[in-house]
Amino acid sequence: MREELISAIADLKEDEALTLVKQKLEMGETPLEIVEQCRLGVEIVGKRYREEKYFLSDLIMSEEILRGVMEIITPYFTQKYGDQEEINIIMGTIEGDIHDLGKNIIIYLLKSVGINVYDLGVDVKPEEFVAALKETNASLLGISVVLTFCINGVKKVVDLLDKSGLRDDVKIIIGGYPVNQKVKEYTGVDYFENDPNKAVDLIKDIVANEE
Amino acid sequence: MSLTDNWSELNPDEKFEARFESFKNPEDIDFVDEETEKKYKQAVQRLKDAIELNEPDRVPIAPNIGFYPTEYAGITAEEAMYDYDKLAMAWEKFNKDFDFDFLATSTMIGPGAVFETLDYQLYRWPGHGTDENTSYQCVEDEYMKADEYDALIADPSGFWMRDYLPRIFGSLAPWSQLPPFTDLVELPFVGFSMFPIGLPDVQESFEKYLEAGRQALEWIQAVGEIDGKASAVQGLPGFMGGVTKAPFDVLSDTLRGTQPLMIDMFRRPEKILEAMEQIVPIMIETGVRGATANNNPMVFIPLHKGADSFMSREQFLKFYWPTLKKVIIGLVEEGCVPFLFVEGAYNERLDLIADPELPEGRTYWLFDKTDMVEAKKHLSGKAAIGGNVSASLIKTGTSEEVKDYVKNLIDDVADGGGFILSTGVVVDDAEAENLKAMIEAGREYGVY
Repeated sequence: MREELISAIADLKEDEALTLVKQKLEMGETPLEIVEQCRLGVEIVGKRYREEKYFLSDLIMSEEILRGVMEIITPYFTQKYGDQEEINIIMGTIEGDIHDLGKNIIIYLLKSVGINVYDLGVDVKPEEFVAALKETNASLLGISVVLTFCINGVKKVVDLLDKSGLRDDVKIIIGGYPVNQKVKEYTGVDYFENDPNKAVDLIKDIVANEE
Repeated sequence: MSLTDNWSELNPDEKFEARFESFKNPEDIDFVDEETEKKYKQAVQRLKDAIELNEPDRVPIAPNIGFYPTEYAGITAEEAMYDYDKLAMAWEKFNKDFDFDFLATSTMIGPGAVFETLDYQLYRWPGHGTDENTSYQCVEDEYMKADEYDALIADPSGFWMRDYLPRIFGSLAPWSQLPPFTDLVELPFVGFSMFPIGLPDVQESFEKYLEAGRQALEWIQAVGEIDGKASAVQGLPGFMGGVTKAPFDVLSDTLRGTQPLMIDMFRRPEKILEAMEQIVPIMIETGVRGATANNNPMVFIPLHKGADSFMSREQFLKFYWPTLKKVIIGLVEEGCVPFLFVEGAYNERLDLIADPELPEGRTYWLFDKTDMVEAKKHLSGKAAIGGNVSASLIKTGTSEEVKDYVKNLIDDVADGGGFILSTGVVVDDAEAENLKAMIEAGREYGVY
């Protein structure tokens, strides 16, 4: 049944996945075991997306199934899951820009390879990025910027980090429609990447090097 | 409204000819001189040749211009949406200085006052949620709930009036109390159907509605004059007559939201298909009406959620393409030219949109990041193509780089006609020299 749940998640079979989760709980399987199987399923979803076998629609459906699973198993947790986890990367879309799809794809893929992401959402002020970095001690910051108008906001994040003396402790990666080498140089960030696969590999490498 | 007395007797090709004839010889434009009129007609002919897959005298040049004229003329985006004198100054300056084959329209900027009066929730716009210099942005949400498909399918207009509009316009929230017009079938029904209109909050909402109407009239007069002047004084035709949408995008952008609709593809596929069939004739009518009213056969269709990475080919073939194809055919049957704007990329869709059932020489596909050589290969002899000049290049490149890019693009895909030089996305932000370089390169290398 372990494999069955992993496959149901990977194949986006919602009814089957939810039924299996309920059965497992009745049979005494722990929520953590179930979460682990879901994670393995999600890993396959992420892999299929990166191999272009799955698309945005599949990622969204997979998230929706997981939401359903969590709804069922949350009451079985004695302690909130994930509280103790170290945050690897802070992510958000820059101030003035409310595009979230690109950012959400990256977050999904990062989570699917076991990276802990703290999502600040969209239209995030430069000050909020800095505050979140201080609060979580994360050493990686991912900023999504889709509108050319908003590139200056990214520069402001870098300036604020400089001023607060945090700049050397944080690696910044940006992505989004207008982003290229010139934008990277202009804003003073460390990396840019528009291909989700390469972005995930890059972030994985940075996190692995830190550890 | 129809263009000729015998409109219903004309076949699609005759309607196409009639629309272009009328577009080329507009009765309501008073050209300043013969030279200007000639320039205008030449531009229309150039476009018609490209659409019909013939070689024009040279490649038509028609970049997509958004808010860029504000920056160029030194006004804010917010001012352009509220102060029509400033809007006129900026667009006039832009059209005069750049002077490509078509006018950059002032109509896409929109009337801020109208949005404010209606308390528009669907968008944030300059000074109202976005920075005074940042273009408007859509706020997606589930404006239609998952269990409301049947209501939409049974009566789309009623659903729009009583469910959708109250959710996206704060000022029209009381419209949720309105009865449907279809109640009005016999004398005894009239009183019952009318009394909700008398409720104080409904009355107030109608006052706002009327005020928004007056403000919109003021706006249309202003932008009509701005665009009209660009035609009359500079000989620049408009590039867009009507606007419509793919039925899937209506559901996704407007009603359900991207993520909920994608989940619906898994959970309630039949409802999506049924709803889209209902939306098809509505979208055809919208596009045709705009083309007729503006005396311009081009019907703009921005395509959003069917892009390569958004859904699989199977999903595209099942959900996105069949009803979009019906809209395209419906527009062509009325003599219009569907002007399909593929945002993102369609590299995995080119063989599908080269559909043999679509009439040849009647559509224009504007691409952004799609491989243009492949696009030409698939659509050659079927449809005109254009676009692909990157807005990032226009913003961050050098004039030389832009010129080289345009030259290579023309070398690659303009051969034999059926190509329109344009940017891949709407230009909100640019370097003036680079945009000029693009236009100059089109003039220089685009001659047949």
